[in-house]
Amino acid sequence: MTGGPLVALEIGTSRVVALVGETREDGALMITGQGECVSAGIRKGEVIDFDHALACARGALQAAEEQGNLVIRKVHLVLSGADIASDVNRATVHVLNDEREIRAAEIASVTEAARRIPLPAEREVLHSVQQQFQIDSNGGIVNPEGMEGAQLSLDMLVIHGRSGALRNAIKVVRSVPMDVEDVAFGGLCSALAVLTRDQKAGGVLAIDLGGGTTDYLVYANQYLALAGSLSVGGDHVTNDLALGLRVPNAQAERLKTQHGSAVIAAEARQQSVALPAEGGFAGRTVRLADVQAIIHARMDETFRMIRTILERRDLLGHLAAGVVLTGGGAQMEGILPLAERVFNLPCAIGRPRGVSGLSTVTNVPSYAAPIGMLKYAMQTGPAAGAGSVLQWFRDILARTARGGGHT
Amino acid sequence: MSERCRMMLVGVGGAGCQSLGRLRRDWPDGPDMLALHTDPAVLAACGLERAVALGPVVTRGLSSGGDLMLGARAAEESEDAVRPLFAGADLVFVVAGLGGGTGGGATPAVCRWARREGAMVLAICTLPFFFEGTQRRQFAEDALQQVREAADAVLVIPNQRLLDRPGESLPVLGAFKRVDDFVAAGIRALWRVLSQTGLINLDFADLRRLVAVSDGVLTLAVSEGRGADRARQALEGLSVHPMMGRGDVLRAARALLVGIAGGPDMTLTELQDLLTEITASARPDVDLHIGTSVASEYAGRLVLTVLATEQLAAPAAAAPATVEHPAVEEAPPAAAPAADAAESARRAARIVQGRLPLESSGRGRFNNVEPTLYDGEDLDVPTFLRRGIRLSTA
Repeated sequence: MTGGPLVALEIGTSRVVALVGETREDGALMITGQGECVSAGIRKGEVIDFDHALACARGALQAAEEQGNLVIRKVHLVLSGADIASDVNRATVHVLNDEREIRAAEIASVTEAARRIPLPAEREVLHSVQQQFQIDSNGGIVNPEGMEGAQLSLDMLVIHGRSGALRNAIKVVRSVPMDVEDVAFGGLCSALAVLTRDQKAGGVLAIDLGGGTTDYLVYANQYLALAGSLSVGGDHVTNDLALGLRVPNAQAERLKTQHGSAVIAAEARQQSVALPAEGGFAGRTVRLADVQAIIHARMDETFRMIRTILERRDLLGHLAAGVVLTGGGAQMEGILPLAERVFNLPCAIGRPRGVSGLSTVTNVPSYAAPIGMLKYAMQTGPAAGAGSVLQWFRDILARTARGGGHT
Repeated sequence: MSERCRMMLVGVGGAGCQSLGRLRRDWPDGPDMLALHTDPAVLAACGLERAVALGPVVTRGLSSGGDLMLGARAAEESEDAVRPLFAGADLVFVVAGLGGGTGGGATPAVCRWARREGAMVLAICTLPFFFEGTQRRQFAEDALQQVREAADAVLVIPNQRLLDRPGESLPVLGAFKRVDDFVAAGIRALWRVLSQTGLINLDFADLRRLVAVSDGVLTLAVSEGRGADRARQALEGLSVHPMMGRGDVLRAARALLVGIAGGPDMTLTELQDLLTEITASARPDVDLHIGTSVASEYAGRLVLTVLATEQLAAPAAAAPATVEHPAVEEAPPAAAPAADAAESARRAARIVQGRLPLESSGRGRFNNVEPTLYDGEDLDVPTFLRRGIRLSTA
């Protein structure tokens, strides 16, 4: 085991989760600790109340420390929300040496150029992932080194989000106080946790149905083709129920988890659910058909938005391996038939793969993102994939250190 | 209209009396107006020809102090004094701000009296601004449920919608004045549409029909264009109108009443363009009532008045296509008091079931956060509302 245990932290809209993972002898990931705290101060994956969010992060990390019996000094942070989206940026360089052979220098310069995508001032890069090289007009090249040609192009998928939202999450962790070793997009993490090599090769859409956001990621044509986050999640379903049926939020949440369904069952027309009196709420009976109609409308809309996004990028026809659903929302009754209807593709629930340890964590779809974060951290090594957001923090730290500040 | 349909305006509570007072000053030859309030000082100040103080005993001549129960008891006390005033009226507009004690507490009773006297009652209710506080908004929503059960239809004006103009900073007094102006302009436009004879007439029967197919909630928008480009201006004004929710209301409405008023220079092409545009942006099966009138005072202008049914409600029908309009609703109310009572009971019965999710809290727990906009839609508003899905309550 190298480098000791790793800690993934996800500041989610419904829960803040800290997972401790270690690499086993055989190289597989084992979850050895878990800390959790019900979220406050988070909406749609973003910090809206700094102090509440900070208290939750502290609570989750402390619980993980106790259970994993370790002292946590740094975490790998899962980021979501923040209007995360992706664009393909193509860069081209001319091969200038006499043999017209592509060497490390050309690859380095085209990679550098492809990373530099013009973004609006309020957005910044979270990941840049290489898609394919092209030599003159031949595309689909994985490694061009040693090949010959006049022009070398590279397509880079650049994943970016709103700086403010991304930085706030990092600030929360820094204030715990805790180091942020690395950051990664939640949708990418979930995909890493649940997708098989074959699914990625065949073309697949992974959807993480979170509390405040719905993250999606597409592998097509053998590479990462699309990533993004919609600021709509399970919280919206609860809110829709609370408003539509005029019940308190807690009751709406219970209706969702205990009686919810993303498709409207024929027998629901005759059934109703009695809600007990509680607090200032007098108790009510609601019709199951209404509960399901409200949930169906929201989930159907969410899936259709993703479908439209894929259609616009012409990716819908490249998903031989279908759709994989993960995150807490994947436990919703009827979610698979609905997804199958909307996408017209085979759909499956994704559970984390190649993970052992705490079975309450590893056997459900809810923890896909933090588990994927641990896998990502194991693969990339110390801070290899740091995006510019994290760099921004490192720069600040460096400045404070030079100025004799306290670090 | 005065021969065909006797119309009356009633202001209940501070906001209602004030709106009508303003309307009367600008419109001295308008229909009969009546002011009802618990506070005699406000009644005197509004300057309407007829004013009745509600509940002088229970309130001891003071206002209701924001207490809905007191407002309701005050109304109860004054029923004998007020109810006969509605005799002979065919259409009564009850104007009230529902955030106040009298407006919220007495309005349901006033609507019931007018209905029992045989009039069709359209309540025009404003809901408080966000800055007026959660409690006032909650009161208003409770009151609205009751008004909806008491009146034939409610035209809901969430004040907040009138503020939602980007980059604008309006003083508080300006905000209230804007509400008064909106209410006054809306009433005048409606009155004009229903009363003036034109090329194609709209009348009381059309309004009854609109109310019959609605769930009891209506939305009004008035938009105006001037000059050569007036038709397009009026349409654009409609599409960005604060009450039309970026056109969603128009798209979801099951029935529309459209009044087009213009000067003698109004052309057939303009009319045609307007109707084509409106039809295109409405549901294919929409129940459309159109009226056109020409008056010389509108020379060079074109005024579009749209009254739309809004589908926030959840009445009986499980399938969206089934529209209820039994024969009793077509009968003139004065001629068939028994049928009217039966209809009223039926309405009350179906309304108790479906609770009405309201605009002022349409975003629920997302009220105070940045909206999630996608292709022009606010995703924080429940999908079933935006899609116009009716909940089953049979």
